[in-house]
Amino acid sequence: MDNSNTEQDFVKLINDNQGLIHKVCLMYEQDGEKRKDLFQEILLQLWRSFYSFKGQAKITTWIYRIALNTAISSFRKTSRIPKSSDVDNLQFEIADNNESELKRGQLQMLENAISQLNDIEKAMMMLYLDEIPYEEIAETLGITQNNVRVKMNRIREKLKNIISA
Amino acid sequence: MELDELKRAWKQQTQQTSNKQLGDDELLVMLSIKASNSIELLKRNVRFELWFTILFILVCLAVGFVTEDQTIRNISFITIFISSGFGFYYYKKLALLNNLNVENKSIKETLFKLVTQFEKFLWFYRWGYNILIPIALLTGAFLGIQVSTEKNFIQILTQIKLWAILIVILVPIAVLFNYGMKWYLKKLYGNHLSHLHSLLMELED
Repeated sequence: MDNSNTEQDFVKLINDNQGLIHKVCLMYEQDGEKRKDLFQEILLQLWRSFYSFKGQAKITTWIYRIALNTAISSFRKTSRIPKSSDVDNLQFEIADNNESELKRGQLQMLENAISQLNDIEKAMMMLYLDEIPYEEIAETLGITQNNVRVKMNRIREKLKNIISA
Repeated sequence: MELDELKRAWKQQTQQTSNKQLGDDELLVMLSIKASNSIELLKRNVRFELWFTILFILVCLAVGFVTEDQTIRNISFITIFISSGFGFYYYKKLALLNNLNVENKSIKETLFKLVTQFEKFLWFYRWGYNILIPIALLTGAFLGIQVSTEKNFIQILTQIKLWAILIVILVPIAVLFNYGMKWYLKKLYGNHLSHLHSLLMELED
């Protein structure tokens, strides 16, 4: 296969599914610069495994797997979990300055909730929020569907506590 | 705020982010830039050490063949022998680092593989140096003595008193080096390995 054609195919595929990679970055990195680094890292890992991807799985499953594996296993010197004092200062990029207080409150709550989950819980929560079926979540994580249900219930409880606190 | 509201907030947030899509050119630029994560940096360092060792071996080889001085020739070939050990060490280290790539596997399988490979890498990193450094120091000491006393290498190797002195000096250095190495690796990679371990344990619940 021609290398430039392969590169073009890859870029097209990424363009069609870019939102998914952004979501993973959003979930795992709250700092803008680090999020950009993570995006590039995921992109490079996807490129490396693009040659061996022969369409055995759905494209989105492949991207989720590589992206989540990269985000979870990346070696970072500093912890991804912010100190509690930093939570108020977390900056999700809010595009509209006139956004209602309610929306701001919701986003603040979302940031707060995400920051208190561990990396596996973040992956599960992201797949849940994206309405991915349990079967696919189980396949991505490598655990049984029953296990997914049990863990999801625990995460829900944890989130409810965070939200109601 | 209920979980459904959280879902709405997530959709709203990801929608905003998705609107800021990168163009083809930006993606191609990103692909052309070398990765800057710690494993890639480590690989680059090991590659440099490997190439430096190969170059050093070639220089020693050239010196060994060109010189007419028997002592220098002996030193060159002994140095090549020791350097080959380091060369193999760096080559194997690089192979172990290459195994740390993420593949299209489930998170559990990936974590298991990464934990296993990372432990192997750290074990090899530590014991490789633990074995090679004392051998290099011991050889260096013998070569130094040979050059300064102009004695035959075999004559030096058969001096029991010299062995005793070298062992008394080198054993504590080797022990200290071992503990220093253990501390250094734990400080550098201990947290990362524990982090991967704890995530894997969570999936094995």
